[in-house]
Amino acid sequence: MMKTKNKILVGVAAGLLTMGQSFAAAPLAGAQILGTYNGDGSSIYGADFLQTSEGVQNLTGLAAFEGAEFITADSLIQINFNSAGLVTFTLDNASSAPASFVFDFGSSLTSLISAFNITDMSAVTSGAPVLSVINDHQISANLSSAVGSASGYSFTSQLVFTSAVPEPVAPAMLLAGLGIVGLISRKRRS
Amino acid sequence: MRYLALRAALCATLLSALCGQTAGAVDAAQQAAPNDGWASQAGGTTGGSAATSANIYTVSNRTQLLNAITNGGAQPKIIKVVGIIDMSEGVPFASHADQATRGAVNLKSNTTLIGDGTNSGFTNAFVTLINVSQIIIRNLKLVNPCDVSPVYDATDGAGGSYNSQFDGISIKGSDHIWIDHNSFTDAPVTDDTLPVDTSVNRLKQCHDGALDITDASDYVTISFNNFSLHNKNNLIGNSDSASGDTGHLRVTFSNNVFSNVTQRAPRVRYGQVHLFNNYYVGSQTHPVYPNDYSIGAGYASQLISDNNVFEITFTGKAACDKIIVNPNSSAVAGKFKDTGSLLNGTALSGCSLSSAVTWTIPYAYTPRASSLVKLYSLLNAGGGKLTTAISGTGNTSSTNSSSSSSSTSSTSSASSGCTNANLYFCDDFETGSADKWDLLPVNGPNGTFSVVADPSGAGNVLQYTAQSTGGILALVKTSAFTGVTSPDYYVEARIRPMTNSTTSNKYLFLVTRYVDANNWYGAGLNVQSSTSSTNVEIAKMLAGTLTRPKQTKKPIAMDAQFYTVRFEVIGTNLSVYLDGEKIGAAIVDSAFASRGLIGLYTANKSFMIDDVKVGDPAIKPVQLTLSTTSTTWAAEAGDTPLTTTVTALKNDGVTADTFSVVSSNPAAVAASKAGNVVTLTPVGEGTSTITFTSGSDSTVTRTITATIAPQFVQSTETYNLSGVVSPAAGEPAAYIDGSLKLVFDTPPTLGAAGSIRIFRKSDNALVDVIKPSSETDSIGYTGQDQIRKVNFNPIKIAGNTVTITPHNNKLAYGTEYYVAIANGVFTGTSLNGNAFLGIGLAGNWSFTTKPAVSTSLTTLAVNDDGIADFRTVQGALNHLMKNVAKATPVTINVMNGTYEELLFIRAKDNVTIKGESRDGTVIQYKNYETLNGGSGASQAAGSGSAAGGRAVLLIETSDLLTLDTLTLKNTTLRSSSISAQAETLYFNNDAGRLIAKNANFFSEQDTIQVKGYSWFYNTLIAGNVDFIWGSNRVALFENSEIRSVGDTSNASSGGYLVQARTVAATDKGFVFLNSSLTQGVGPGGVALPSGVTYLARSPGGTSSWDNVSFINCKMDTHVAPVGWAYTGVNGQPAPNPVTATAASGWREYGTTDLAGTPLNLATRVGGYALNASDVVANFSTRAQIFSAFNSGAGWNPAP
Repeated sequence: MMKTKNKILVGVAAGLLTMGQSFAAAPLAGAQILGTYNGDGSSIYGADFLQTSEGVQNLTGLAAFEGAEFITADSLIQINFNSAGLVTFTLDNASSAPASFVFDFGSSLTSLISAFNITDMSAVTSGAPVLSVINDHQISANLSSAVGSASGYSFTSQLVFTSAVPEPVAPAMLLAGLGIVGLISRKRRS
Repeated sequence: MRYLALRAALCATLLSALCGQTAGAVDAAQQAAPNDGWASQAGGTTGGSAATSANIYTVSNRTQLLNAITNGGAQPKIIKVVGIIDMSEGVPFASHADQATRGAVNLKSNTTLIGDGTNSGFTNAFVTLINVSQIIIRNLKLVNPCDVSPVYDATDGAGGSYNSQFDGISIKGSDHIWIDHNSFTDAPVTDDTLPVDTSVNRLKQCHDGALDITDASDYVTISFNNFSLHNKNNLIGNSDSASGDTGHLRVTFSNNVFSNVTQRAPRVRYGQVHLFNNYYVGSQTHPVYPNDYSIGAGYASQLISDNNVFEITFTGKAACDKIIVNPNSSAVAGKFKDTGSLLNGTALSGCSLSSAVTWTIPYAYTPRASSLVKLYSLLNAGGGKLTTAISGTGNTSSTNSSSSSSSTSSTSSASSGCTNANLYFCDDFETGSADKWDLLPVNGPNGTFSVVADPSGAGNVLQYTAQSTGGILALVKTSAFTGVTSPDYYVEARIRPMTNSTTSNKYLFLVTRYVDANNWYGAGLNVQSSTSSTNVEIAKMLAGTLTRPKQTKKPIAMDAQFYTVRFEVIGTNLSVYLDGEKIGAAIVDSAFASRGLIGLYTANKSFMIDDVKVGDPAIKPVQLTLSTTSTTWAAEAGDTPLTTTVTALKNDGVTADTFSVVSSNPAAVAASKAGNVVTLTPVGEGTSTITFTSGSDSTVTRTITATIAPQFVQSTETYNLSGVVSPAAGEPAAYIDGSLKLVFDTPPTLGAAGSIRIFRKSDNALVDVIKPSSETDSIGYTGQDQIRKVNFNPIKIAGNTVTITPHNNKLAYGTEYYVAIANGVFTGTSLNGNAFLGIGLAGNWSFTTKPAVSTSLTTLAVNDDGIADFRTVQGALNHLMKNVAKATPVTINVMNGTYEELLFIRAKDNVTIKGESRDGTVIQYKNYETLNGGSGASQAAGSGSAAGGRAVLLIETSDLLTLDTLTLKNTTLRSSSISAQAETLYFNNDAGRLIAKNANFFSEQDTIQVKGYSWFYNTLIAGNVDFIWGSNRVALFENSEIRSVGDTSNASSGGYLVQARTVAATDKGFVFLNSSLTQGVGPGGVALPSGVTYLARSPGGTSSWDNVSFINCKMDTHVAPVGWAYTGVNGQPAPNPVTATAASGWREYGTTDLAGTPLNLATRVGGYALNASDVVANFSTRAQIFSAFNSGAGWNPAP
């Protein structure tokens, strides 16, 4: 069942390409992603933290191998990103339950997010997930009303990017990024 | 469905809000093994989930854990572990055997063992499931045990390997097991912290398996565990030849994490193992645990793998065969069938092992998509991620009162001793009679013989109960002694001395070559109240006179063990053995050359005797002797181990013998042996008999009875310490030699166990341990070559006040310390209103010592309360002995006060100790023969048992010591229950000089013992028995009062002033000049009787001289008219010389009564009356009296 979905996703990605939109081949390569679950950063774990027990719990780099970047602390939902911007949500609970996410790719993301679209929700039997772009490096997903076909169902989505254009505001954005880094180091010390 | 069990477990910890919908979820402690694993088969695995409240236990320490396992037997039980239980209890394992005993957690069938909350588990534990069924272990954090003595096996691989025992969990011959949500790790003792044996260049690997399953164990599910930092992780089947494993070893591994595990995750033989949704992460270049392989499909194994995820960093290309292997190329390679696993993000493929698995998984399972395995397992696997609210009434105390009964077994099988056919004669009294002996009457009240049961084992012994006199008690019947034809033989017996009403006449001899009652040889024991005064001796009765040509000190206890005494006579050589050890060289004597008879002699002592043997003297005894002399030992768990060196020799007396040592209770005392050194480690509360057994004669045993008190626990109580402790809490200028004082609200009771400890505040380092009893101390300065080692009483209770004397030299200058007192040391009282339950760090009785006293000072002040350099006289002495040149004069000024201390001066000349006032500066101690036997001597630091002697002040190799304006007192009272010799001082320097002036010396027996030259001027010396004595040259008592006082133990005794053992006939000995002999009430309130005090008695013999002179002294009416205790007075021996002269012996001149009226000296017997010219020539000035000093250079001391 999963393999079938993956095939569909590949097709969808190819379709996106033919639409001629502008994005790099691996726009998320090297991205650092900060996630929250139901507004709470402590209810979600990034892969990096789970592997090393170090760093920020809900911050992770893109995994080297196919897998997942995030798992909710209740083990109910995992979220995988690939470097092309394919986002897969897998839900262990087929019933609807409050589940809203925000993912922040940081202001240093070179490819800017312009859209966040469902690509395959065939396993969602009712209550479509609500995906939205907060800004060019932040997205949100609300799965609260989604009901799946079975425990362990997945749906996929795709980030759409525009090429980054250097602008005068870049230094300020860089500073904002440094702010996040500073926050991270403080947490480490504590 | 697959998530239900997990969700129930996770809900409590992680997201209770979301889990509300799973109403009625089963507590983690009561869950059964999930359906998707082997443990669900054949009836399923419920462990102890059915436990009733009485079998639900909550444990937080080792004792509770073991009791919980024991109590209730194999009924279903749940044991909830709270916190991390250190199975070593902080006491490092002393040996492999100790670890095997104390580290074991042996679970019984039908048990659920579950950790509480986020941090519960074990360290220094190995959990074993042996031939049990229905075990669930969940939510524990386990540190893989480290074997304290890995063993090198040269045949294990090329170059050999070190191997260890003890797995984190070991499952043997057991079934229906669920191991779930536990963590296993080597950390903190990872393999890079282990030593390397450089001789073979091999790591001393102390770890074995993390979780091993062997011996046909079956139906096991291993789920949600986190295995990390380990080498050989999971052995499933331990041998290719263990064909009994065929069809068993059915194990499921699911949702586990294997993180930096070198190999065996798992390694399988025979088993049908299913692995699904496990996550493996590691690297071939890991510095400590490099990946060798992950899954070993060994001999005849068949593995099925579903959706496992491997993330391994390889030095080359990733390949299945690097992680899935047939270990050691087993002849029947295992099979491995995989579906859906990922290796570094791509499908696992290209595996060489056959996938032709022939079994099918009998249970329903739905593996999680491999893409979802990693985070899910990382998030959920491991200990501390479940919670349980289980509780019950299970009793975690010991309910098994018979557990200690084994400790009394097996010490002595020696009672039936007559099994050796080569003996000339033997009697073990097993006939129940003494019919081989003529039991002889003695003069006076006769004791009684009886054959009684051996108190040390089976069989009978002969007991003699003494009355009040003694002699030859028994002789072998001639008819029973026909087997002995030669005059050369040995006689040996086991002898157990016993107390009887009198402590005098303490000889117990085996008699040989008996001619008649007045002519024989004997050898055996000289028993005293104090084991420090007892001897092994050879005796000779010749024409009715008893001499003892060999007297060697050995501790001989009464009412305790049997001692094996052998007396060997070969020609003119007489040798004695104690417990197989030959005591010194043979005595050569030719008085009796014929065989004679053997017999028993006692002067007046009760005893038991057994196994009287006579045999060929060419056959020597098997020797088994211990360097530690005491047969009892008390310690607290965790104390410094006791080491003893064993001398074991075979019966040729030369060849080293083997021996064994066994502790009857390894949980109390762990015994380990390295060569001939045995280390006894106090590991836990309890008693143990440690038995040493000769390798060549199992009847030769030695025992040490150990009583181990619980490990020291710091009290958490707090008190208002204001005004009730000294040094005060927070005191910034405490003294390094000060005592500790507490003033309780009411008089405390001193407990028997526990200790007082002083810790350095900065790092919690333990600096001193003070026990309520059986304490020793080393007097002298740190680094002194010879110290005075003494038994002492560190705790003194006077009313509400407790004074605790720490050991010498434990505190440093300028350092903060705190005091901890175990609960139970002082009981039945309160401190400033709070019941006293001990004190520890939390109680905050801390203080800081003063800065260092300058080392250049030569005058020091000592004060017991005000400001000074030191609190104790010894503190000042230590400082001066250590820092000032030997010849440089030094003065210690001692302020008024009572100083309870024992003193030691060595190798420092020109020391003056000057008190503030003669009666106000009192240095005293209750020291006596039974406490510290003998006159005393220094010994090398750290060596042996206390030999520091019974004086308050011991002086060695020091010249010109001055004691001025002070009182030196030994507070011992004479008593029949102790040996009461009790000097105030022992000046032990044959060539040295002592000055005592304006000073008092109080004791009863042996008040002053001097060697060399001493001058007592304007002093008071009080005592009763031999209270001035010694092997001296000249002691002058001038203008002094010599006061005889009533004897606390004998109101009718007037005592003896002097027992002279003057070295040479020409030495002036003891001279009393212009002094007064007075009488007074003794320290025990006993008045002195009239007319029965003697000026001197002799030690007897001719090895020293009875040189004593009274010149122009006043004497009160207590002095007997005959003056001297001459031959026969009170049974006293003749002096030397027997007839005194003007130059030697007992002498007197110019004696008056206290009013100055001359006494009629015609009544004197045994002395010599000097004339005026004798006095003018020899006794008229100090210079004259001391003229012989320093080979005639002379000495003329002045006040």
